[in-house]
Formats: sequence, structure tokens, C-alpha cells
Amino acid sequence: METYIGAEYIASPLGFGAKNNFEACKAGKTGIQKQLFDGIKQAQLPLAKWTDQISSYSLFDYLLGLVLEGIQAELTTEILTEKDTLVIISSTKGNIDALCAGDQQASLSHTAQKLQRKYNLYQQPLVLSQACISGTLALIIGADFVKNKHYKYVFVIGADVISKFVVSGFQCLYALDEDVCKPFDQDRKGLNLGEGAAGVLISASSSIYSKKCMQILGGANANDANHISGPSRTGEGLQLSIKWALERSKITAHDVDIINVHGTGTPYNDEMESKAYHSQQLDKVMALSLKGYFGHTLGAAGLIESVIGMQALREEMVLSAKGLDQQCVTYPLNLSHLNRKQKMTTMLKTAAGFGGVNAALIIQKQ
Amino acid sequence: MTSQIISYCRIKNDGVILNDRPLPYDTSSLKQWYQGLSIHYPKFHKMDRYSQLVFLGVEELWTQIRPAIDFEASISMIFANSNSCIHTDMGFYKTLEKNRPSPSLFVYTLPNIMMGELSIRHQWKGEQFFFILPKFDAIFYYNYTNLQFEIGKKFALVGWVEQTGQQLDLLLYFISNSSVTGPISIAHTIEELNKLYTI
Repeated sequence: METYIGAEYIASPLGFGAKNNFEACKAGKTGIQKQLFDGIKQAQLPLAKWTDQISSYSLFDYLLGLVLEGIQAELTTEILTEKDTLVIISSTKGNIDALCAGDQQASLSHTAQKLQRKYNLYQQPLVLSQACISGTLALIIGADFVKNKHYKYVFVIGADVISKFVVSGFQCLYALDEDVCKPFDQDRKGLNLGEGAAGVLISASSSIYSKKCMQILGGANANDANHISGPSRTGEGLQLSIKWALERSKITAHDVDIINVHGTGTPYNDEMESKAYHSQQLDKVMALSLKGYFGHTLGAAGLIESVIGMQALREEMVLSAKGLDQQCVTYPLNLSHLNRKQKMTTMLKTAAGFGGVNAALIIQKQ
Repeated sequence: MTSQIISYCRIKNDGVILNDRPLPYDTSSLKQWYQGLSIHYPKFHKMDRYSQLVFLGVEELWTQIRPAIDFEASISMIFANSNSCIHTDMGFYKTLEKNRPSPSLFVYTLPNIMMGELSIRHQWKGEQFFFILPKFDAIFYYNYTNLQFEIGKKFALVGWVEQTGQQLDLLLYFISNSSVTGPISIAHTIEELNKLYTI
């Protein structure tokens, strides 16, 4: 049985809607800009953050609703309230600043309950919180639910917002670049944090989508079993997750046309990824590196990047690797300074995060 | 093949129960419990209390079934609670308020870190999942564990790992969907899961 993915939507500082975001990237724009932020101390920081207040209430809750409505608008039938519809919410820290300030209603389980009430969902939304692979893993879980007939429709939505809590945390780990991030570059010094949200519908029915949908072939997650706050030097967990994802998708590395990489811009992560792709004979495959456009949106990253990757498949256009000047990793990736027109059908999406987690997922254009 | 719960550990403030037997440990002193296990694992002392609790519970479970099989890739870990890691979040937030944010605490403000600790300890590299549910939900656990078996996994380490204020509420169990057995054998059903939770 086929498992379909489509009706994709993004809300980011670059714009609203999947196509608008892709167009902004194509035009070379970035959501990252230096702004005054009160982290450990007040300082100018490059962040992909909305500069205007777009919601009077919790930005996080607002974004999730916006994405849910954005997906539903791309469907032929109203299915949100159906019994066999599930919503999966992916986030790392949700409304963490409000929660720490004492607002009990700000927890992720409260967000899920509020969303259920607001949209009259039959099923209670399922929250996944698994560091920076949350978005990619939520897609894998959604596909497994549909493939094994647990649900007919799964809305996979995810968001994270910029908070004092998370910015300060990354600052004290010395993981942030003081300038705009440069994934895979010789001068890369760290990541930039971003905020945003995205989502898709995964379904066993292709007729539910207003536009042409794609297939989600399979995915897997694997642990490095090596270190809780740094990636394995060899990328063992990422290698395993790619290997298992290809096996479950019943394809080989030769079938992959494009890798939609994690590429945060930290020295260790990008090096680890290069080794993992090389070991799986994937280092010659064209690569899509997106953190230079959106920053690292944590729990939303896998979703935002998968949705942009789907636009790349639709338009047969590989975006330039923003922030890259001179590549410096042991096994260079096939990245470009320019947007490239290219026929392609099969995309590998990867992710890695704290706790030694890694995920890989295959999406194929029909 | 029907799946079986082959070992379980229930941890509450008033004590620890391992496969129907109470253990002689007081959960207010995890150090004593650690010493009782006679293991040498210096990383234990660097973990937050929450990861320590899960580590100890799983250590007890695992010593009962360890020789059985190579679990490396065939195990899925399915963990959940209702509040992510609010305890550690508040701990980090306090260091932040004092303008001295602690990087070691920040790392533990991700709820999946405890599964990373278990992966390192036991070299389990298979799938893992951390969900946030409003309360212990036997139906969800039952269905999601079965989904893992449907995609080819043979074992699951499942955990409800809640720590609210000083209240501990943990249930950890291994399920086998293979011929491998353990010290106990309880049918994997929603009813049995609810029974284990109410112990």
C-alpha cells in the first residue's frame, strides 16, 4: 500500500506558505538577521526571528494552528474532526519561557489539549519531543501509522520559537556563531537559531490532496550510543539510520537523487555528516543545505526542510548552499553556490541531535 | 507470535518493585541504590536525577534478561510522560536567573537524553521515541508498541517516566515479541498494562 505526503505548509520569518518560502530562498533571501536579543546578556545576535509581533497570544500555539489550517486548505475534504485522523505535534521546548515563568497552561500537553478543543479534533494530538530530529521523526511515525493502518490521515505539524531559555542554553554551550552561519564552510563556527513552523498531511489516499502529492517511502532512527551532547565522530548513528531507511524503502543509495542535509554549521556536526554520507556512497549526490535560510528551527527543522525539499522536487531546482564560501569537510558534499536546475525524483532527508539521535527519511515524487 | 512482558520495574516514592518483589531501596537515596547494584559506571554521577532513576530501573530490568540476546538493533525504546523534563528545566532556569546558565544542566533539558544515556550504557542503537501524553495511557502504549513489532522490531523497552515536584511515578518494562523469555511472563494487553501501572 502506498503512503502519500502533501498539502505542505510553512510559516517562517521568510513568509507564509510553502511556495512563498521556496520563492524567497530561490531569490537568495534569508530569514536570519542580526538583532538585539536578551540571552545570557543583551547582545546583537543573528537569529531567524520575526521582528514584528505576529500573535498577541503564544506565538508557538498560534503557529501550530496556522499550519493546521494551512494544510487543511490544500485538501479536497474537511478531515480534521474525523475519527481516523491524528495530529502529531513536534517540538523541542514549546512555550518554555512562559512555562518557567510559572504559566502551567504553557506545557506541551496543554498546547495539545488546546489545539484539540479549538479544532474539535476527535483524537487527542500526539506530542513528540526528541531534540533536533523531532520533525523528521514525526514524519516517520506518521508514515508508519498510515502504512500499518492505525490512522487514515495524519497531520504532522511542528514548531519551535526563539526563547531566552534556548538561546542562553546554546550560548553557554558555545554552539552559536556570532555571525550568519556557514554550514560546511571552512570558517563555520556554529549554528544560528531560528523560529518557525511547518506541516504536511500523510495519508493512504492520494485523492484527498488538491495538488499532486508525493510518496513517503520509509524512514528510520538510530542512536550513536556514544555521547549525549556531541555527535559520534564517525557518524555511526546517522549511517545506521540511512542504511535502515533505504532498506525499508526498498531502494539503494544509487536511487537517491538529492540529500536534504541537517548541516547546522557547527564544526563537529557537518564533519560527522560528511563521513556518514561517504560511508553510504552518497557523497556525490546533490545536496540541499538549508540552515543558511531558516537558521536551526530545532523541532520544526525536519518539517520546514522536508517541505522546502518537496518544492525542490516539484520545481526540479536545487537551491544554493547559503552561507557556503569554501567547503571544508573530510568528504566534500555536492553543494553549489548557485541554484541548479536538475531532474530528480527521490530525496533523502536526514537529521541529528542531542542524545545521540539520528533520523533518515525517503520522499519520492510520483 | 503473541508478545509478552518479560520484566518490569515500578518506581514510586514509597519504594521500588521489580517483577512483583519489593527492592530494599529508598528512592530518596539513589546513591544507595547505585551502590547496591555493584557496578562501576562513573557517568552515572554526572546524570541529572531523572536520568539516574531511569538508569537504575533499567539496570535492574536488564540484569534479569541480559544473556538472552543481542538487542543492539532489534529493540525500540518508547518513553513518555506528561511534563517533558520540567524539573530540569526549572533547575536550568534558576541558573539562568542568576546569570550563570549551566551547560551541563541545559543538555538534560531535552526529555530524550535519558534514552541516550541508556543507549550509551547498553549500546542499544535501535529506534527510540519520547512522547508527551496528558497521563499514563495503556491504550497508546499498547498500540504504539505493536506498531514497532509490525515494522519488524523484536523487543521494546517501554517507560512512563514522570517526576512532578517530589512525586515519582515510573513504570519501566521489557516486551518480547520473540521466543526470548524473561523472569516473568505477562500477556501484553491493555488490561495487564493498567494493572502494572496501578501497582
